[in-house]
Amino acid sequence: MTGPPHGSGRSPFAITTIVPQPPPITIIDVGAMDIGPPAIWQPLLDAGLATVIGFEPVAAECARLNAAQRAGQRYLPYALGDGRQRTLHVTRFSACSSLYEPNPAFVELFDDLAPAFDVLESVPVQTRRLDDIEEIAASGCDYLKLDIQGAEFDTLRHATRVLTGTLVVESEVLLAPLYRDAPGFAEIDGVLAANGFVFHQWRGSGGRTLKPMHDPRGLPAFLSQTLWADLLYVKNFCDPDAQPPENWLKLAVIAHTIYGAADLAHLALCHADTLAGTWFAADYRDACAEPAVPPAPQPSTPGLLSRLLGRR
Amino acid sequence: MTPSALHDLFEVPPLTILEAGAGGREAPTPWAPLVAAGHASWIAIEARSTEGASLATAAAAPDRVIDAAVGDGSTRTLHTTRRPAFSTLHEPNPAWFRTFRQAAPDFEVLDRHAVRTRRLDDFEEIPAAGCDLLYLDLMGAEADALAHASRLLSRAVIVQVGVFLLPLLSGAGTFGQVDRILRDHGFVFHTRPSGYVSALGPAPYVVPIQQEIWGDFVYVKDFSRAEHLDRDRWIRFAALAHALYGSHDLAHRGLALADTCDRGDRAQRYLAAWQASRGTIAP
Repeated sequence: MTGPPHGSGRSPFAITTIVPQPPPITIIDVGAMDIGPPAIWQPLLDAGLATVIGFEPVAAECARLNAAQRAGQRYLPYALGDGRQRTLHVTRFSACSSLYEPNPAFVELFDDLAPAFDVLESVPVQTRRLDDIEEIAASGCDYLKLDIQGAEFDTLRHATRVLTGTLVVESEVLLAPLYRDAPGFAEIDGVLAANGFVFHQWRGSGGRTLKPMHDPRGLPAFLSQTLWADLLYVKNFCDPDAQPPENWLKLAVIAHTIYGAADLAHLALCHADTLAGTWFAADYRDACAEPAVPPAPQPSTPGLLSRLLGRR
Repeated sequence: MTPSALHDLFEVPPLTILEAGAGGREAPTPWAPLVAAGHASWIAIEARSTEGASLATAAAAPDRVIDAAVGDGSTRTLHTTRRPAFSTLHEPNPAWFRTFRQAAPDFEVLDRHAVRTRRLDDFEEIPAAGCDLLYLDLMGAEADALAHASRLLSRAVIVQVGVFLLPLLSGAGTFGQVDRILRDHGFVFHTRPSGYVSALGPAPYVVPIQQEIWGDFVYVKDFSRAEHLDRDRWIRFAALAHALYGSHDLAHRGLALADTCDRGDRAQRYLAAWQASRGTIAP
């Protein structure tokens, strides 16, 4: 084993200098609320390499997103889950709203947390399964991002068809009982493993300080207790024959452009080269080896909880 | 604040640390200061007799070294690897090591022999009161070990476990399984002290490495309700949170819960000491 992770961040060169015309990438963003900072997949859009289908169940918010007419993006007003009618607990901080009820006994232990989880109203919503969304059936999914306050597992369990073609999943995972009975890491790890995904990176985590203490550094710093994390999974990359060459190219583009995961990008290009007789991997390795301006510090765009409540 | 700061403030019951998979350590244990100060006893379990012997004769040796392989109680195959610390009850997965070529030499199996594993709950060498900190680094056998440690888990207040994040070892339990077992026993994820990456693909390797293959994770007894532990175990909880992880807010929480048992003022004294060292109180 080599050692602690290197810092993540985008690489200093565009992968299109190596792979001039990569296949277009379809991004599915579940939990697409716009709260200011750019979405994690924005670099792919900015480079003209991807289109986005996002899900935002709050009708007014969804309409606002579509009205902005951002190139390459469309938003659908569906709440994703297990296909049943569920109860949406609308919280004071709307982005903490969830199909799971907040757990005040736990949340109230922490500094700067409880007010965000105050439930203002609980309303019935009809959820839809990702596998049942016609728009996704038509477009497919290469990169799936999930950030829905505990409902990630419900969504993934009913996304077997979508996950068959998906190459990368980034999901926020609740690591502590912020919501009653909400699934946690074990459930998400299990469903992704069952669908052929393997762990790639622990992208970042968020937490809060237990009262009455207060971290003098201020948010998003916290003294010790991690409460959520953003985890990155990718399709098993050991066997070159597991994917067609175009999928390996897509994986390389996503890994390089969003995550600066040059090792994964390089391996994916090796697989593409093996199958298609191309020479991308050697050029990529040479580009990585060139002395270059260090990548600008690019904080990985955190998940929704992190963006709202702070993360480190 | 020093690791033994709680012991300077008030009486702390003696701590017991159980480390399963203790051999091949390349750095001092995080509990070394507590053991050196006489505040904790340290029991180590190690399957490889040579590693166990080294442990027993080291300058900072455990109080007891038990020569045993931890598992589900069945007879298993111990794979002795070129890098001894990576020896495992699980066969290294060749499909994965064709990808992790730089790590592959360390996992080359030099010998295989049968070992009778023992379940953690079956160790009569472990005190009846169990342990306070359970530390596991069993090269893929962590989920198996925890699945047969209900008695220990009912007594432990903190569990730290090192797990592979990829299926590098055939049939090894996953971190997801470890998470499920610990949550079922009333533990909550606390923090992730460390993680390790390894190089994908062919050498020489010049591209930056992001692929994580192993991580260390800490779980603590659910601290949302006082009745989850008794007074002394909340105090031990606090002592370990403070000394091993610098989790001062968690330590304070443990002391506050202990104080509810006897109307003590440990939490207040700890907070004052922390403030004096550098902290502040929320308004």
